[in-house]
Amino acid sequence: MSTERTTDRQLARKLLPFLRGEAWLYGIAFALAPISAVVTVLQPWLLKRAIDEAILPGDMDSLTRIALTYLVAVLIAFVAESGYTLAISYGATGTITRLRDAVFSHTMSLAPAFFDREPTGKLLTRATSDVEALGETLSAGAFTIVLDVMLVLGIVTAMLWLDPWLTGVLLLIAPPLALMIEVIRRRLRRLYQLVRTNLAALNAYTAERIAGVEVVQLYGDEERTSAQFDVRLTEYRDATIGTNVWDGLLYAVVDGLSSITMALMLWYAASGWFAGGAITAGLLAAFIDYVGKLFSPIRELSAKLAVLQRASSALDKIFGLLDHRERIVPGTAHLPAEPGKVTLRDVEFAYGAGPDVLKGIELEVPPGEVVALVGRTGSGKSTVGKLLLRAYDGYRGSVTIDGVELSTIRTAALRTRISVVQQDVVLFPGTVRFNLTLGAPVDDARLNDAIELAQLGDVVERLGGLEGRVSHGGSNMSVGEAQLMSFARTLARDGALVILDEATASVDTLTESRIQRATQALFERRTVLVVAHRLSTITGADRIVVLDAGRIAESGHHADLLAAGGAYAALFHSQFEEDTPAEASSAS
Amino acid sequence: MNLLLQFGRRYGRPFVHWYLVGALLIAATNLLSVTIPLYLAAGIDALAAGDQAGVSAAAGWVAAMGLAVIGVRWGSRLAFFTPGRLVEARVKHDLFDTILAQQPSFLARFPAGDLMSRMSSDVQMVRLLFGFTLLGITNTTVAVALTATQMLRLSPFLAATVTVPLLVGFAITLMFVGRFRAITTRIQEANAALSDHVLSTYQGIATVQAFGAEQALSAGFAPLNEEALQALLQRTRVRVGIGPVLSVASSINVFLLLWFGGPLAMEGTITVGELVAFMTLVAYLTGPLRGLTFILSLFNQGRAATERLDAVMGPLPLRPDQPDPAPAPDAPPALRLTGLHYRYPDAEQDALSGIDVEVPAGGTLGVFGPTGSGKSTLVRCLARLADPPPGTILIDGIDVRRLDLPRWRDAAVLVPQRAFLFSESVHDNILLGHDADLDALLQRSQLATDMAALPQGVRSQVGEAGLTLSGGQRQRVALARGLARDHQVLMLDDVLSAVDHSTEAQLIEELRRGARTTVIVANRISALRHADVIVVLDGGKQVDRGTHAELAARPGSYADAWARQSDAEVA
Repeated sequence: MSTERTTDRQLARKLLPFLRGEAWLYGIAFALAPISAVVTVLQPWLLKRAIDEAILPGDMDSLTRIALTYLVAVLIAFVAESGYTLAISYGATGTITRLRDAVFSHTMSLAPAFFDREPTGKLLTRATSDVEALGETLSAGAFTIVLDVMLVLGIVTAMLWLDPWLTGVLLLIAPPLALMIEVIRRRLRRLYQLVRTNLAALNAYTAERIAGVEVVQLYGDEERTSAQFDVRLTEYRDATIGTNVWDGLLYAVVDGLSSITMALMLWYAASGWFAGGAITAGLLAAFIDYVGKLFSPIRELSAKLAVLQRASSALDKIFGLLDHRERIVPGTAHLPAEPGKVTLRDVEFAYGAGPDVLKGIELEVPPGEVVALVGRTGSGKSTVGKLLLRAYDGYRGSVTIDGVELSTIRTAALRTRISVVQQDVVLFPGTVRFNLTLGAPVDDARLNDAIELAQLGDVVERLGGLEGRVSHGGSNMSVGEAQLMSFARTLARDGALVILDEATASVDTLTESRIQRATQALFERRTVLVVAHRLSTITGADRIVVLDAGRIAESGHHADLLAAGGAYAALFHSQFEEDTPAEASSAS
Repeated sequence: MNLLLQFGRRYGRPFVHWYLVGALLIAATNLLSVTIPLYLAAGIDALAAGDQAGVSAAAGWVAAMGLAVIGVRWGSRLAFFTPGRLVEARVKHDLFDTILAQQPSFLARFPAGDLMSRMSSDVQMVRLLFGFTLLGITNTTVAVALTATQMLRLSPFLAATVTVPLLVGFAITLMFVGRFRAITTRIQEANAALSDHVLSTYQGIATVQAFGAEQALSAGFAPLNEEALQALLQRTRVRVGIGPVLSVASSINVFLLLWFGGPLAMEGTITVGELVAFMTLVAYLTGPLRGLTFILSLFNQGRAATERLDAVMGPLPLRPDQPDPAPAPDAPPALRLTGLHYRYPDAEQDALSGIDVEVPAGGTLGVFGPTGSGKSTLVRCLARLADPPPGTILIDGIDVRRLDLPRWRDAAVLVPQRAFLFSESVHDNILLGHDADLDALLQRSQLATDMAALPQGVRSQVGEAGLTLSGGQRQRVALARGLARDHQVLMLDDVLSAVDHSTEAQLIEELRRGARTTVIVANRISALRHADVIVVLDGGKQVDRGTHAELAARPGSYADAWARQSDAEVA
């Protein structure tokens, strides 16, 4: 994410394309704004004329005419203001909907390495609260400021036109008022910043503890967790109370100053300087009205500043994300319609700036063969699978699929060629069908085959068939069932090349053996790379490659490797040394 | 409405003195605000009469009252907004504590994103209820009462005249404002669904990308985004519809004052200054009345928020807190499960039923069965993450439900199947604030080499914002976390699959030596064979029970698995 803060103007420019779709709505709003300002400014002036030209001279006809004009002005103001608000709100809501769509789609396109670093809770905030904060500004903050500025300018113009000398009183008030607003505004700016930082820390902590609430409960960690939460909560609370103090002061000062301004105008009128007593009762009444209207937008200023500031920081974060282009470079090469032969030549790889996890890997998986990668945790076996899926870029050496260099293959082509069963099973809230197809066009016959092969029939039935619901995170099924689901997903995809990443880790032996039998048939026509640590599942592989600390230690058939008595044999015996049949029969 | 009173009593009452002071200050502010126009009127009339001293005196009073306004206005806002913030913090605190105390099966009804939105948006609505809304209601009431009194004193006829549009405006507002509650609920639900979709997509991004499912998920996102849009637009329409009604009523009143009041001023029934004062009062009332619309909508949104909060906070934690809890065991206890059955809330069938088994003090219980057979549910009942029916789990002969829960969880440690790590150092993740010999723990859970390879060793940050550990490493950190506690009962839910067989053997050996009662859930027979008794589960039911030797000799799923796992050696 960008660390450098972009200026508000740059941010506004970036926002522009997202405003374009609702340009006509914003156009209507901006056309209505001056109308609303003008009729609002007219009202006190009509009042002055009613007093000076009708009531004081006792002219009933004029009074009727002026009163009716006033009514018309009121109705026009009503229509203009409602139209303005409606247009702005519709525009803003449309804009944020499109922006949210862009944020979501963009985020999905980023490289896995990005997701390794950024907490998902934080990314969620970009698509939700940040976008909402922006919508609030667009509809309530940014554009009403335009309206306010027009109104203030209109009022000052009207006052100058009616009586420049009386308007001069404002000059007495303006400098101390501006100074005060500026001082408070700066303090508020810092405080709002603090509130946001503290809130983010509080939310991050809360989200994580809610996700891990079982651990907190199991280890009786409630008190400590609650105390840690309270520390963050108190920091947040105190910062918000700080904003209340200054915000309240600003509001109160502006409120009080409007009365003081009116008092100064009275004094001025009484003194009769300059104008020499030309100030009429009607003029004074109009000015008092104007002053009231002038101060009310200023009084709301601090609230609007807070909204604007929140939006500016939200925009900064949103565009920080949208401008972030950490992508796997999509290639352009097509794959020949061949069964899928994988070749790795002298491949080295490191995650980011970390140490090399693969060191000079030489590996060939011929079409239709099942090759198993084994090794202890950290040996690099999972990394090979991730590289083939192009989850990470930047390998050195050469990786080819059917002779085409991996980094040049079109991503879409690669994804139709390779199917994967991932280490961590991911299920989405939605139907069983969606979870199995993930949006790919798969007909029911193939889907049912996949379900049957994955021994998932009873589970799907329990969930209510293909249209049954899978709840959030697959919480309505067990870990093993979820694993079967992920297996069925891969079978339905029918890719020529299959990567099984520790697919059998948490399925019990019974289910595992059923899958084993069912998939054996399927594997016959495919190239398969199994990343395994349950050695019993891969004894039938065409070739077993043993990785150790990023290097290939040895490779060959199960029986040969076992006979050789090397690394594989050691691994294998450590898994099965206790489970000898001889011991079992003596025990029974 | 009851709920609102309940929240009021619980959170508002401690701040009653704040609110009383605030109400007094608001009365003072409003008194000043309605008095100022009277002095302005006197000033205008004095000007018309050429009485310069009168104008100056009026100006002096207005200025003095303006200064006073600053003080009382500031005070009144602090007196209302500060308790609002304090209430916000208390509600957040209580909500968080409730979540920590709730049964996981209850919390599972709320996706994480949903709980977070209750914690932020809904609590914020409650804050506004206890700050801004209360201030607004007090302010409007006082303002209406005072201006009404002043107006009546100036001219009962004009006062009656201006009441008509205000009443009509108010009636229209009331007719629509009730809709905000339903709309707020719709908006919150739309946002929750949206958050859930986004969150699960981001969390499963590796799968999304590997299967090229981006477009499908975007397509699934579109209707949710559209619903959120429609919900917001519905609120906009109501807001725009009723927002200006009361301010238009005020403007119409100025017209009415000219229309009816103008002739009165010409006749001399009232002075011009009084007419202007009347208009100023009407204008003054516009603010509070306009605010009233907003406040009523906030009030209704606040009601919706209290309902949503109550859904989480209202139901008492499902664990029954015994008035007189039995002490948790301080030595390895004997376990007895008799007719244990369990059904998850909202589920249609039992996840577990008919479990009968006894484990001697310090013994080991093995749990074996296929995926979805109820193994995890069994240990969750033991750890009381799920509450078993009364009398079905006895710990040294005492119903587990009667035990002091915090003490029982101290005594009985469960290492769950899904390892969860917090965004803290490995060190903090393992110890969770306790003291223990970390080096020994790392050795025992086969983590020492892994930790040595990390940039800052055990001080390395893990979890979402830190390093990514492999599934096996995460599981072993969770195992170390479990071993870090002194415990009488240790429950391992399929944890040993994360370690290699020699480590598993060492661990089992160590567990057998230690003075504790052990429950091991496993699919590998090697982890179970030394258990004193093994229960075999299938479809939530106990299908067999016995020692390894007994089960291996009988036909059944256990013997099959044993044969298969032994065959692997020969293959």
